Amino acid sequence: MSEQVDDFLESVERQSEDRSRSLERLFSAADAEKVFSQPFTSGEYTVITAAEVGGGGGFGSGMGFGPGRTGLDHPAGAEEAGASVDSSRLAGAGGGGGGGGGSMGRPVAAIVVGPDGVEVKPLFDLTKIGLAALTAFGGLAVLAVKTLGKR
Amino acid sequence: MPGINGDMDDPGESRRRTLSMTTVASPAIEAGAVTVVPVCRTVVLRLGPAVFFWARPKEIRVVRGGPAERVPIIDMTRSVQAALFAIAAVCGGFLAFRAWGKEKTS
Repeated sequence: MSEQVDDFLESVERQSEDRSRSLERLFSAADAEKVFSQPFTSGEYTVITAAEVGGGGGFGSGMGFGPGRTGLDHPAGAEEAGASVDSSRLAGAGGGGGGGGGSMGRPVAAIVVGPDGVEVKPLFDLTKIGLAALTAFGGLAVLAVKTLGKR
Repeated sequence: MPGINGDMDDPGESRRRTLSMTTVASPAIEAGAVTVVPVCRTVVLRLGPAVFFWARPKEIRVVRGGPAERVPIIDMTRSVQAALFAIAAVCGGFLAFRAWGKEKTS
């Protein structure tokens, strides 16, 4: 029984390491190839887009051991009554696992290679800037109303 | 192209740390007589079975026969956002300081 538990624990540990390595491989691929696009050529110009990428992921698993279903596999008072109980039927084990993750990307700049040279053209995310302005000055307005209202 | 990727980090070495920051170069792109090497900066945080990563473009290295010229990539959206929050924080601080001063004198 103890050997079976050890084997089971070992296999769980191995699986956990495998998943960890897979996750590492997934995110190591998120280096330069994910940040810079493939070059796109049109006439004399070549354009490469640069983006900020981010994300994360994880997994978890759990397991437990315990006696069999009380009252079915191991009727209460059976041992006291001298009834023989099959020890292999007493053990119960269960486990489960799950994982999840997400990622985001945002264009930052376009690199234009042309006959005039190499240019880095920044890209503006107006929605993000607008939301930041709304948050910053909204908070400021609330603070101003509170401080002026105290007079 | 000797020296163009000279200061790049070893991704294998950094892969073993909890928090690692690496500078990685993309394969060189040839466009006419110009060679462009995009460089990005990655931050990876490992917390047990969870991994978080963030990568942003850092610069491009342009080679036109001579030594590599570095052209930084500036994230204007992030800069404007930071400027807005900084202005709001300064103004908020000023308002709070004024209110505190008036409360003290009265």
